[in-house]
Amino acid sequence: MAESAEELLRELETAAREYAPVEAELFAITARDDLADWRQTQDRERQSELGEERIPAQYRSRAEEFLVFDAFVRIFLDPIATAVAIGSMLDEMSNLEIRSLTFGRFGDDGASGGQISRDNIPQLRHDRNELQELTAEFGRATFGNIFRTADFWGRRE
Amino acid sequence: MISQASLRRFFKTFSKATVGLPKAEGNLYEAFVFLELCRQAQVSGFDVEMVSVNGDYRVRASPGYFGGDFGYAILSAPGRKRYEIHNGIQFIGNSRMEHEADIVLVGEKQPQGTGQPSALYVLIECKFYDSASRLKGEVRKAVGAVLDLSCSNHQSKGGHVQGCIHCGCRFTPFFVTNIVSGRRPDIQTFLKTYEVDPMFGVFEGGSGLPHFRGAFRLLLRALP
Repeated sequence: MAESAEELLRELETAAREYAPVEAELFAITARDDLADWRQTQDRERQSELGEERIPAQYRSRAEEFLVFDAFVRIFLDPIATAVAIGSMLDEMSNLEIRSLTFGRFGDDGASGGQISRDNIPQLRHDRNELQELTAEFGRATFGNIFRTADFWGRRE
Repeated sequence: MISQASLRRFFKTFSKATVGLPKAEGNLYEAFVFLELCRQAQVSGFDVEMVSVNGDYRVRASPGYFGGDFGYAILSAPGRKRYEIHNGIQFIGNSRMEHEADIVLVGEKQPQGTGQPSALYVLIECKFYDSASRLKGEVRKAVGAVLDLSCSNHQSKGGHVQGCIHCGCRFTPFFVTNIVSGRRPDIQTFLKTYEVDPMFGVFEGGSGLPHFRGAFRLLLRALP
């Protein structure tokens, strides 16, 4: 188990830098902001009002690691899961006959903002499942037996 | 201790999976919420047509006025008015300042090339995960935009037209995010205080998704 939230943050950020430097930076800034916000809340009278609700009961003794891990899930898992969900919705609403979504900016003809094609969804779904399995492994390594996937990303599709 | 080999595998897969996807997670999230709204419209009895070119739906990744070659959805049902759902629309507020609305449900045939909609029913601000401090800025911005876009207005002391939410803005504003409900209770309360419906935990498998779906089904079924 990581000994502190700072250690967990550094471990995840360092590993992310090689393959996903932009997201690594975003993760580090977001998680540090959240830790700072949490710590200053602890000093105020509103601790019981805010603090009790923000962290699920089983993680309260590890609140700071919880915040870091939550930021990790939201930044590294949610985008892939969201892209898969978009593909699933296009399949469900098959009468729409939409094969792809192209993200474009005003005055720009190309796919400068990226694209989601229904053809790529099976591979994305496979990748998402692998990322969720690995994240569950990280969660168990960080929190031990109290970790439950449903506390971070809910049910699987 | 997290295994270094597993961490490398994770980020290698993440890096491969995100190639070609929108780099701005906000755009991806906006598309997700847009399609969820379309799906709830279908479930609520509307026929949904997504205006596309050869099966490719073009999503606005930067704000603009109605029109252009971007896609939108048309909702129709026998005996009911027709509606449209657009994303990334820039509106002109009471103060004459422009505001981006992430997703809007409006009446059909909006005036092209302008930021002044006819018949605005729903305005959704979407927010992909952000830190607590930045999220506070986002919700203040959202409340400010709703106030300025309100269809009720008064004269300010300086003679300007100012929007008013107390008299009712005449559309339903929502703040939708993948941040889990309960993590930021003060922010949720702030939104409710200013009549913006907070919808937290809206993501695939998220605890807020059933609430989102239920609320929009009720709203869509109540439309004339």
